[in-house]
Amino acid sequence: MKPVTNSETYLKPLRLRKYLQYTRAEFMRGLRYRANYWATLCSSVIMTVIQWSLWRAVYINTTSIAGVSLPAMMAYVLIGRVISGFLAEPANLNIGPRVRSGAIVHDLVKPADLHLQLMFQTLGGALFRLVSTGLPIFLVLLITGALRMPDLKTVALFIVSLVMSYITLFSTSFVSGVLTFYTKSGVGVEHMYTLVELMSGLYVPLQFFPGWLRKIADLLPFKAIHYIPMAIWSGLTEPGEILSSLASQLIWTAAMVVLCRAIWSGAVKHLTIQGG
Amino acid sequence: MGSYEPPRGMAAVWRYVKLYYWYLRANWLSLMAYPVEFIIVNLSGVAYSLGSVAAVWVLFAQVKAIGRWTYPEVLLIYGMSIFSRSLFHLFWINLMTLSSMVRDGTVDRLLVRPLNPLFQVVAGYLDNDDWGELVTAIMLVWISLGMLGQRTVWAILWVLLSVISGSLIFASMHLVGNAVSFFTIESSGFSRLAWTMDEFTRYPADIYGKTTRTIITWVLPVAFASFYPAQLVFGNEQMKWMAVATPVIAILTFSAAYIFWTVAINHYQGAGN
Repeated sequence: MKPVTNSETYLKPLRLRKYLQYTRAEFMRGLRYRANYWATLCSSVIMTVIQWSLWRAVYINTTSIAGVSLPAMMAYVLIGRVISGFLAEPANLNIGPRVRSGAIVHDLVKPADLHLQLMFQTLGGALFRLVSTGLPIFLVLLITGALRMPDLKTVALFIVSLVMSYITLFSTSFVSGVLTFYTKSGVGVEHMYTLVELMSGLYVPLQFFPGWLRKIADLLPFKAIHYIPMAIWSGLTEPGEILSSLASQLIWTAAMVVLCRAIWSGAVKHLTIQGG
Repeated sequence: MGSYEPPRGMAAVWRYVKLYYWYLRANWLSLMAYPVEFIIVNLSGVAYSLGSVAAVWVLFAQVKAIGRWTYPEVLLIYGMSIFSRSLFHLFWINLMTLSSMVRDGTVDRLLVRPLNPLFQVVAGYLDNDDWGELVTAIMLVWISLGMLGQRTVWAILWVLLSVISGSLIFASMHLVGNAVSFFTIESSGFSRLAWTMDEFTRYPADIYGKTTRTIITWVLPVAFASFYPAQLVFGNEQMKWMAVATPVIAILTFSAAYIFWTVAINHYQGAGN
């Protein structure tokens, strides 16, 4: 039998509502695990306390590191904690074993594009974590004055940036998931995710990197995951440079999406040859 | 049943040591059934743990100290933290299966054998994917001891004793978190939370506020997994006694957790019929 090729469904007009159902279902799934919820919230609080304490202790000895002041640094790491659930280590998208075992056929016969389906499905989990753990932490940080709102325009651009961050993050794990089809090992990007988080600027802003490491980070797409939105929020990116920063993020995001489509259609073709 | 009498006293200890050797051997052989997979998974484990260590390294390219702690000192604390954690992870991970064993009834099998049930749970499985973190931890400890000029036999032995104590403290928290499933069938959120507690041990404990520090010293004493024992290596006179107390604290914590486990397992009546 011939599976529905993806390009066919992809070229049809995008039926957004269909895909949003996946998002909704995944969001609702998060509501079911209440014991997990409290543990996750407590973990996020702990991580926030650790980051806050760490950077306060670092700045005891100095007022500025690589041109970054303590208030800017705090804004950077604390907004990082708020969005860390939304941009968490991606769900295991190990498509390889499903392709090899043939179970992927069940995904392909559905009248939906698998790439988009997974993107919207994973979004549901990300949104759940954003609302359930990111939001309460954000509110507490605002009320205690640990975090301050920048002006509305910056917030709006930050949200635009965050959407692209999500697409880049999802694409990274999707590419890695499809690659497991070729590498035949179960090791994907989620097993090296701390390296991605490092190069994406989640732990320390890219300004801190020594020159050569900064060059590597600039060549990789990962700064479009954390650094760009966090730098916009905290003012590490000057207001005048935000638009050019968003433009570069858009290029990286688009490149990652194109890569996803290319690598995925390659894998599907490979599959039909094997099945023929 | 026959008239089998388990040995007592030192003979019992020796019997458990021998048994543990055989369990470990069997576990290790099953890991080695797929050596390439084992090596790939653990190489990625090295990459995973180096990713977060690199953040410390990048930071110290810019600053001289975190609080009053210099680079080698922070590195030793960080190294001991993930050393303790990986030892716990490698040798105690099977605690995590407890709630599913209670749910499907396999825990009953452990109760009828003439062996300590906790021993059977813990010895029953050796983790396959955290050896990379252990390798990173050993490198960090070795490098930082060299930078501190403390690469002596005594310092190394002390670090080993400390991280074994530290892993026992982590194990105690997970033991309580999972033994709860004897009452509730479901494992508690506390078990998941215990996974985050070790984050507190990565950095010097005195960067935290008073409340947090009291909790991680006296309630859930994870600070004894890295911060306090490291003080002995630093030659810090003020905290010498806190450092030396590490193994004692570990034994006390584990005893308390073991008592809880005993109460829980005696309460257990089976998940259904």
